[in-house]
Amino acid sequence: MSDGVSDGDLRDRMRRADPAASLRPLPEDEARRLVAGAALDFPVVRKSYTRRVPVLVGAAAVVALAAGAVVLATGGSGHSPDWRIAQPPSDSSQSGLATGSGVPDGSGDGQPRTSSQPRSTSGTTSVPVPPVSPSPSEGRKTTIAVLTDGPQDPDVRCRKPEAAFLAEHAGMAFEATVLKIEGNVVTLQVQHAWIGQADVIEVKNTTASPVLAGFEPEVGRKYLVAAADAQVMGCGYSGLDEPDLRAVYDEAFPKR
Amino acid sequence: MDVEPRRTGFEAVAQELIEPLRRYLARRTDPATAEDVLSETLLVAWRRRAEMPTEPLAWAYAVARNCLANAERARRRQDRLLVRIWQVARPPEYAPARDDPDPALARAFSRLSAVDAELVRLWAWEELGPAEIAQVVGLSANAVSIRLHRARKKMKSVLDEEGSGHE
Repeated sequence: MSDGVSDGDLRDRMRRADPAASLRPLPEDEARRLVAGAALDFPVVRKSYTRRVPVLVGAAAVVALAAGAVVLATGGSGHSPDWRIAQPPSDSSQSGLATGSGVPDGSGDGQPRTSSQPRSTSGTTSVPVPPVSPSPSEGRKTTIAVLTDGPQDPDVRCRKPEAAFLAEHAGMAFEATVLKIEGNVVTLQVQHAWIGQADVIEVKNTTASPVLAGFEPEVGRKYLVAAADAQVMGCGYSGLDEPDLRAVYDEAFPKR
Repeated sequence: MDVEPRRTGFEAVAQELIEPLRRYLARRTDPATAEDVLSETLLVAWRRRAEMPTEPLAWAYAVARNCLANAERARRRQDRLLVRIWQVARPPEYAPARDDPDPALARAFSRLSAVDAELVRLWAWEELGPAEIAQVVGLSANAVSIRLHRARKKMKSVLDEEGSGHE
């Protein structure tokens, strides 16, 4: 017991000496970059420090279906902007590809997975990444996503991609060219990163279909790829690098 | 019913944790280390997201605490070399200025064990209750209450003795 100093006094005094009192909040894009780095499963450190590793991104076309159930359950019309709960547009005006719906005839459990749920380990196997010019990878790879397949919901449709939605949800956003497609792994070389850091991204297509998040990747073609929680955003948010989609990205991630 | 777009679980939670974690680290280490450890903490949180409780703050502090301890261990190893370099690079009389806003408080802290000092910090700065503090430091809530009470008493006693005059 103290004569003069109370618990409250002590706490007040400590608060006055708080080393974090003058800490300014992190800019939103920086915070998002940090979280995206974590979801890429490699630490993002100071901006001046560039750690570039190839990463493996899971294809999320599949998630749409899991989420399709959500739409139905909530009485939604399928007009939600959420890339998780809708299919890519059937007219392929965003992706420029009309080879599929982006959602496979899955035979999985169809249950939505949240990031807080443990994921299956079946998709965590890394695959070799070839040296990429002009900056060869350091040979380190991290697997960041495992997805589940699920049934297609033909009733769910997408809205036109919206910059605000992309900005809010994307943890990674890259302009990247397909280097190769081997089995279910699509390797893309990154030309530009709006969010995240990588020389090479690998998208694991778990859909058992050549269509990935609503588009069919072709070697040598350039795509804009966004991902949230390590899952490619479908529903028109990822697709061929075309003016309409690029405009959405440019609006979502303005240059500072 | 208006259904909000489902933000990805981890991202939404992690965004909320960033500022408390930054403050936690800023209070305990230098800015560069804090930045590295924050990044590492988020990475570990991502890998262990299946274990993340509904109220994740104390859990996240515990992750940060472990990451910081690892970073400090690594740095101590480096420091053994750096000290020699420092001595060569600087004249012996050079002493880096230490910005201490309340030296008496610092002296009071120095009288506590490392764990007790951390209990007080978590109480005063992170504003955690005994149960949450227990989660961070790995003690029982009861033990935290007892040790925290004693630690505060000791600090107050030191501050009284010093009659430091801080208002």
